[in-house]
Amino acid sequence: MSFESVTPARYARFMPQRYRLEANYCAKCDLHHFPPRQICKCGNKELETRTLPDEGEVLTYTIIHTPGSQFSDERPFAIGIIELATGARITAQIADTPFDEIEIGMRVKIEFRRIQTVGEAGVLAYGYKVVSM
Amino acid sequence: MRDVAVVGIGMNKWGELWDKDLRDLYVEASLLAIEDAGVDHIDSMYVGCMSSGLFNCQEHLGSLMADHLGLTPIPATRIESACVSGGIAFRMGFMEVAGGFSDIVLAGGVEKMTDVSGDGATFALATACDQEWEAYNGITFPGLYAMIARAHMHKHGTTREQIAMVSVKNHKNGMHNPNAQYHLTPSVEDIINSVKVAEPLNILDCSPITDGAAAVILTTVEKAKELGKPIIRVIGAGQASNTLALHNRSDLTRIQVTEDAAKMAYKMADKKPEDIDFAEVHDCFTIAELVIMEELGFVERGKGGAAVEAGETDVGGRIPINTSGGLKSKGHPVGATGVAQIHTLVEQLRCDMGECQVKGAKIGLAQNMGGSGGSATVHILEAMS
Ligand SMILES: [Zn+2]
Repeated sequence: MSFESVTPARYARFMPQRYRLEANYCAKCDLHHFPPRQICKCGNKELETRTLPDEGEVLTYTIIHTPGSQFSDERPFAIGIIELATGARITAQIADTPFDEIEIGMRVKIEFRRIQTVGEAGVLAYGYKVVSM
Repeated sequence: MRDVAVVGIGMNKWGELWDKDLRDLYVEASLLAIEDAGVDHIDSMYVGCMSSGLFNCQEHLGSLMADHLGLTPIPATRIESACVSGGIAFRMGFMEVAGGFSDIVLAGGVEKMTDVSGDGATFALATACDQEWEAYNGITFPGLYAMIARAHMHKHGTTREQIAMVSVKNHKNGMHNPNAQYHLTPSVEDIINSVKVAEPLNILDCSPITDGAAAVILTTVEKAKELGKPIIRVIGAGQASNTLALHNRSDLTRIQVTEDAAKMAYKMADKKPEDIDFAEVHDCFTIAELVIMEELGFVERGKGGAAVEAGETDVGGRIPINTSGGLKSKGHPVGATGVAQIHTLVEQLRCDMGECQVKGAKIGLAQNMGGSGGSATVHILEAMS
């Protein structure tokens, strides 16, 4: 018995975000919401669809040595919190960058990558990672 | 609102309890609490539990536990808010008595985590973070706290050694707690050299996977006097929410939800951080305890590491923290943790803590937290003379 957090309908639902970083934007607050929200904290519901920039800055990071089983083949790997635009931050793996070169404030670029291998069938799930610029 | 007291406490020995089932754990702790209180009936009950569905393939815990305690048909409610499920179960019991809906309430918490593999437990716990936008990309709970640690070290100059000292202190206290899962005394070097989990945190920075339960009985102060028990009054109760995703919080060196819950509790109790004699806090990872001390107002922001290093949070220090051994040594059956903290507060306020007794303890604070800081409770208890 196992539970799977990635199923076909669920995967398809988030393609606009995982494939092209689709967010929405509150002009009143100058804040991007990623993933898009129905209402901003200020009460504004008139939020404009926007695509986030594909570059950002590392705010913090870690090197994971004991991941969940979907990521066992990748260990160890770096992952961090990246700021892309006002209010829009993502948690993303930092790929192709030696661990000792990663630091807070480092500039990174978004890349479309394979993220995890799901279930017994080994279905590939895709999304965003970042690499050092 | 009626004045509320804790009149009974119960807890079993925590650890990898392969011969005990989910219901055995909850019932055992509850019977101890009922016996300790000396009450002849219960009006209503709460079960704090994070993830019995994933850990044990069992939901519907309210009635399951009421049945096995022989308490049906009383109202029985299961509470879930990740690792603060127990803290909120206690808060619900408090509000039900304070509001006059029930006179005697059982508030317990339980988690049976070793029925699944280590990977299975990691998966179940990761459901407390944002599944689509955090877990999907590979972050883990140790990873989230490691990122808080990295940001705290960068901004405030907190050292790796100071972070490890939290684990040293809590294990030292846990040596005197017979119910604790681990009786070990690691040194700073042992911790810094232990197996890497999520840099900069190692295995000896992390609370363990644990089976266990804890329970308490709440009633009115009036009824507590009739029972002839020491009166331990609940004078402050706070709860707050925040974003599930760590990345959506403006300051990554903080756990704001704790400050928000604490403000509510301090205001209700009409107390300040300086009035607190000791505290039990949610040290799911060593760094968490440092940040929580800052959020509770025990130390200035960024000074948590220095305070631990100076021994301010030792049993004989200015503000003793986690005299039970904390989650680190006692274990962390997630749904039970918040109730076990209340158990320790009552033991301290009854002067029953033995080696770890805080001399002259009159007011204690318990802080319990869910996820990376998406939810929290803060309770303040006072011994009435
Ligand atoms: Zn807005």
